Amino acid sequence: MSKHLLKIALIGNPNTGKTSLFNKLTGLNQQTGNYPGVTVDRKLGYTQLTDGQKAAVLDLPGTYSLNASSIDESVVTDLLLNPADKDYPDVIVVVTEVENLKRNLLLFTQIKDLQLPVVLAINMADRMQKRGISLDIPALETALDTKIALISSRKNTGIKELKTLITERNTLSRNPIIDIRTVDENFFKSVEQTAPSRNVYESWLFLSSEHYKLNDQAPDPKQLSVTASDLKRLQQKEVIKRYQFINNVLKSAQKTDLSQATDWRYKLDRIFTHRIFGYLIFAAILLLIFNAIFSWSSIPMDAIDAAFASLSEYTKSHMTPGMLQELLADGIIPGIGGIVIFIPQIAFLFLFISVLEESGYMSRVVFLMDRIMRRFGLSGKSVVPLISGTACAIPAIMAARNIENWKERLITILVTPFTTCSARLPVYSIIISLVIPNRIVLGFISMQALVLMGMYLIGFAMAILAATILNKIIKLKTKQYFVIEMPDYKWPLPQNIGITVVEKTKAFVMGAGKIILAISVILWFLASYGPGENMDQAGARVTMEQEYANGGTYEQAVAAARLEESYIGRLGRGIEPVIKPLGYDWKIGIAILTSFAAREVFVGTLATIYSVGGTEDEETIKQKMRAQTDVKTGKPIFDLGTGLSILMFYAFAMQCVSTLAITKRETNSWKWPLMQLAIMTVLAYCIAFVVHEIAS
Amino acid sequence: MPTLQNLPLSHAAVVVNFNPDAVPLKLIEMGLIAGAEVKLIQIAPLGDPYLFEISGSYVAIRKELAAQIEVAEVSQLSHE
Repeated sequence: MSKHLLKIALIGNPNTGKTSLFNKLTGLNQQTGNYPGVTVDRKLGYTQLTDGQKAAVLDLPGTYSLNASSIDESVVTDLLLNPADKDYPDVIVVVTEVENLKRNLLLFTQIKDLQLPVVLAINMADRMQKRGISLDIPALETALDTKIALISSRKNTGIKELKTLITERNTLSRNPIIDIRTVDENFFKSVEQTAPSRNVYESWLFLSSEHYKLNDQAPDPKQLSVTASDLKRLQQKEVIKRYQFINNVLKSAQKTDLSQATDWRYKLDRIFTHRIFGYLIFAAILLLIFNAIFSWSSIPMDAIDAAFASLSEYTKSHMTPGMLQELLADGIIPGIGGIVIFIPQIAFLFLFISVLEESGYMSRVVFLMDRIMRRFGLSGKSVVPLISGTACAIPAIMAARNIENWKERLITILVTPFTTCSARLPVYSIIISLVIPNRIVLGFISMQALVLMGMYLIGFAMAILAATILNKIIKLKTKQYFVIEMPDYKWPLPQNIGITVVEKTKAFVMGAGKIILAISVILWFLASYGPGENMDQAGARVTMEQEYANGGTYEQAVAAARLEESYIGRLGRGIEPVIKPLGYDWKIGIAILTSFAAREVFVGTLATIYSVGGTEDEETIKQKMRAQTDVKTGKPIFDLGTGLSILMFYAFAMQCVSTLAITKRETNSWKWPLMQLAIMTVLAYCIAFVVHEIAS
Repeated sequence: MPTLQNLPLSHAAVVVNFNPDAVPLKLIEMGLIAGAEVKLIQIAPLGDPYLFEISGSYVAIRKELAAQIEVAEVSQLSHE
C-alpha cells in the first residue's frame, strides 16, 4: 500500500513572496505546467520535510480574500470548499509579509474560520529592522490561535522552523477565529439552518459568491429572502468585522517606528511613472527585449543550427543506408532541430518577462497605461496580457482574469492573440534572416532586429485597432471599476528567475517537441513515398535542360522531381491554387497547413520537406531555404515579396488550437473563439495578398 | 462633503462614508473601511488613475471610483 503523501497548500496575497517560498521548498523539483507564462493556476512541487518524510506542495494564485471576486481568486476558494479534490490540502500555510501584515491577515482569518489546520508564515522578516517593525510573536500566536514561523524566503531563514511546524500539524488548533454569526445574528442563524451539519462560514461562502450561484451546495437566496445587494452589504460588514479584530490584535503585538522607513519607492516611482521618462523607459525596455531576442541570441542559435546539421551529416555517413537512416537524418533530426534552435530566444523572452513581473515594475506600467488603454476599450491591466502574450497567448488570456470589468476583459481576451507570441518567433526570425539584409543602422541596431521589432509593433497595433473596433461593436453594460495594488520594488531573485526560465522553456520545447516529432515522422514518410511508380518515373524524366535551367545539379533536380510526385507533393499541389496568390509554392502551403494547430511547426515542416527534397550540399535549415528556387524562373522562392507575405500571414492568422480552446473556456461560449478564427484567418489572407502584390 | 477625487496631492483624509453598491468589495478588502486613513500619493501622468496609501497598502483606483468615497479631516502630509 502506498503511503499517503502529505499535501501542503501555500495561500496568500499577491506579492507576499509566496512563489519564492515555493521555489525554496521545492527547488527544481516541480511539475512543469501546461503552458509557459506567468502562474495563473495551480502549481505542484515536492519537498523533503524531514529526513524520512516527503510532502507535496501546492502553489496557488495570489488572492486577497476567499470572497471570490475574480476567477483567479475562486481557484483558492474552489479548492478549500471541495474535500474531494485530488489536491485538497492536509495543512495550509498562509503566507504573509511583515509590511502588509494587517491586510494579509484578512485572508488568514477567513481560512481559519473554515476550521482547517493553518500555519502562519510571516515572510520578509529580513526587512523588519529596516522598516522599524517589531512583532510580539507569542502574543500573535495566542491572539490568532495558530503557530507562526517568521521566515525570509530571500535570505533563506526560518524555513526549517516552518517545516517543523508543518510536521506537527496535528497539534494545530482548528477553532474558528471570528464567529461569522456576530455579523448579523438572525440572518446567519437562518443560513446555518440551510445546512445544519456544515460549518456556517462555508455555507455563507457558497451563498454570498456570484461564482457559486448555480452550485447545488449553495443555499437559495430566495429562500432566505435576501437580495444581491443585501448579500453585498453583509459581505462588507463581514470584512469590517474582520478588520476590527485584526486592528485590535496588531495594536498590541505590532510596533512600527516610522522614522526608520526608507523612501526608495517614492524615488523610483518618481522616475518610472514620470510623465515623460516613464514612457521613455517603458519604450527603451521593450527595445532592449527585442534587440536581445534578435541580435544576442543569434550566436547560440547559429551554433545549434550547425550542430544539428552535422548530427544529420554524421548519421548519414555512419549508419547503414536504409529507411531508418533516412528517417533519422531527413525526418527526425531536422524536425527536432527546428524547435531546439529557438531555445535561446524563448529563454530570453521569459527572462525579461519574469524580471518585469518580479521587480514590481509591471504594476507601474499598468498605472501608466490605464488612461491610454481605456480609450481603446481596454484596461491598464490589459497591458499584462498583451506583454505576456509575447511569450504565449494562453497564460496571457488567463492573466486577463485580473480585469474586473467584463467588457474590458472580453476585449482583452479577443485581441491578445494578435500579439507576437513565441511560436511566431521561429517563423519571423528565419524569414527575416532570409529576406532582410543583415546591416547595422543608426550605428548599433541591426536592421533585422528593427524589422522584428516592427513585427511586434504590428501585432500590438493590430490588437489596439481590433480593440477599438470591438469597443464600438460590443454592447455590454458593465460596472466600471479598477483596483490594483502597487507592490514595493524588489530585486528579482536569481533563483526565481532561473526556475521560471528553465521551467517555461522546458514546457515550450517538450510541448511543441512532441507535436513536431510526430509531424516530422509523418511528413518524412509522405514526402519519401508516393503512389505507384510515379516518383521513379518523374525522377527518370529529368533532362539535362531542366538541370541547367535550375542552376542546380542533376541530383537536386531528380530529388525535386521525385518530391513533387510524393504523397505530400500531390497534396501540396492540390492546395496550391488557394495559396498561389500569396506568393507561396506548395511546400510553404504544406508548412502552413501543418502549422494550423501550432505555428512553431512551420520551420520544422519546411526543414523536413527540404531535407527529403534536397541533397547533402545544403546543411543548415537557413541554407536549405535559401537554396530553394522556382522551377520555372530559377529565382529564389524566399524573395522579399513572399517573405513579407509569410510574415503578414503569420502576424494575423489564428493558427493555434490551444488559444481557441482557452478562449472558449474563459468566455464560456463558442461564439467568441469562432469569431476569432474566422476574422483573423480572413484578415491574414487579405493582408498577405496585398503585401505580396505591392512588394513583387 | 469632499471625496477622494478632490483630495489634493500629498494630502491625507479619513474615510467617512461610501455608496456600498458603487464600491467593489475588493477595495474594502484592501483596507478601505470607514475610519481608515487614506493618503493621495500620486496621480498618473494623464490625470487618472490615482494612487492611494490605505493603511499601509498602495492601491491605484480610477477617478470615478474615488469620487464615490466621502472623506473628512483633510490634512497635508508633512514632507519627509
